[in-house]
Amino acid sequence: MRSGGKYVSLSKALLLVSLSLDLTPLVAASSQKLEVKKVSLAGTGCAATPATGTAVVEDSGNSISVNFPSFSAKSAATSKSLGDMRRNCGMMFDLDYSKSQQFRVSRVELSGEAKGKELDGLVRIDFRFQGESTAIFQDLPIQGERANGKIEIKPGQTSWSRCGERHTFIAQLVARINKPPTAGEAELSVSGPMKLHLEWQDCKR
Amino acid sequence: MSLTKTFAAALLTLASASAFADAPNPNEVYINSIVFAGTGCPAGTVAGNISEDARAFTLLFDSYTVQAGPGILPPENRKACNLNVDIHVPNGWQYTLFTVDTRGFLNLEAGTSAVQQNKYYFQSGFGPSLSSNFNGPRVGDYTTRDLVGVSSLVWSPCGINRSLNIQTSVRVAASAGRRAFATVDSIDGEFKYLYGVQWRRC
Repeated sequence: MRSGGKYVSLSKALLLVSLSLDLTPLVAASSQKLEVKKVSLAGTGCAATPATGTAVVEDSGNSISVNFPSFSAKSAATSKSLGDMRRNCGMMFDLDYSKSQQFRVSRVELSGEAKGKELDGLVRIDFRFQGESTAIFQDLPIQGERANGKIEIKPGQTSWSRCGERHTFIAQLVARINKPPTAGEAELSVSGPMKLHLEWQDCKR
Repeated sequence: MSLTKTFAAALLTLASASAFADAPNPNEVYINSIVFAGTGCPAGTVAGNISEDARAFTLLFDSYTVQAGPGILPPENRKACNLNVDIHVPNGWQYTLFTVDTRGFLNLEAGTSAVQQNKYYFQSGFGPSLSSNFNGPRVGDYTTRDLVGVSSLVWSPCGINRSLNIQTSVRVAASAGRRAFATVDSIDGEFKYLYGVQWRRC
């Protein structure tokens, strides 16, 4: 939060600071050392080779911006194949950050477009840390046509990364059409860049 | 394409040595390398990673998908990917738990079914075969978790290397006019040391 003018009275400055603390209680520390050593892609929506994914750390380590090839799930009243109705892109991030800190994903932003009046589908994002059995996922239902625009998904409470151990984080993006239209065609597309907003905390001893 | 050509084109080694940030613990089971091949994992269609502590791995697949239905030829209804995990087994006696999570998606109409199976065996003999059966109608993700106990007895003071083979497969079946689709999106494996005794130093 930033004040509007250069000169702000002391009382107003204190009020602004306390409000920002109330709104962001989970941001204990942002990692200055976050580095994406490698990002690998594979899935029916994104080929493993050639390597087409790039990732950039932004906002002083509080977000990662990922570029990936756009992909689409498709269906039509006359479709015979179920395979086109779902496309996924798995993303494996090989990260480097302080062993005394851990992170989780708080919000995801990307772009999407839906064609077809009868489109009944969803965009799903799920993630896990290497070795963890639990994958947290969040669906965004998509109904009907939707112009190309921003999609925001908030996963809710997600698990924290392990402290001091592995630093591989796996995310999967899915575009899926739930049922074929009775007439015409339907297409659900997602495209990047995808921005993963991160929360950090110090590891408990 | 003959079977021999298929396997030769699909062999790919995932070397772990260069990925180590910290050296693996020589007193526990750890992964040296992974080789995979099969119709579900042709060369160039898999992204893989071995963890820094060399006890876990992750494989993501492009084309480990199967389908059945009108106009779809039989070879498309079954695919397999064989993993050869080369592991270091330390001196002494150990019991290690190997967990494998297989994740994927199913779109099964009524009157169709799918089976996802993993068969485990070491060089010395056969191990468990674990499978999951799914029946339509069903649309959604699935996750299966295999727990395999690995008991080892090694006299060599510095341990030995052994291969653990995992034959993974997925297949679908559909009655006349029905459609079925299934994928394996990823396979994750992890070795977790439970207990053991070490009686010689390397």
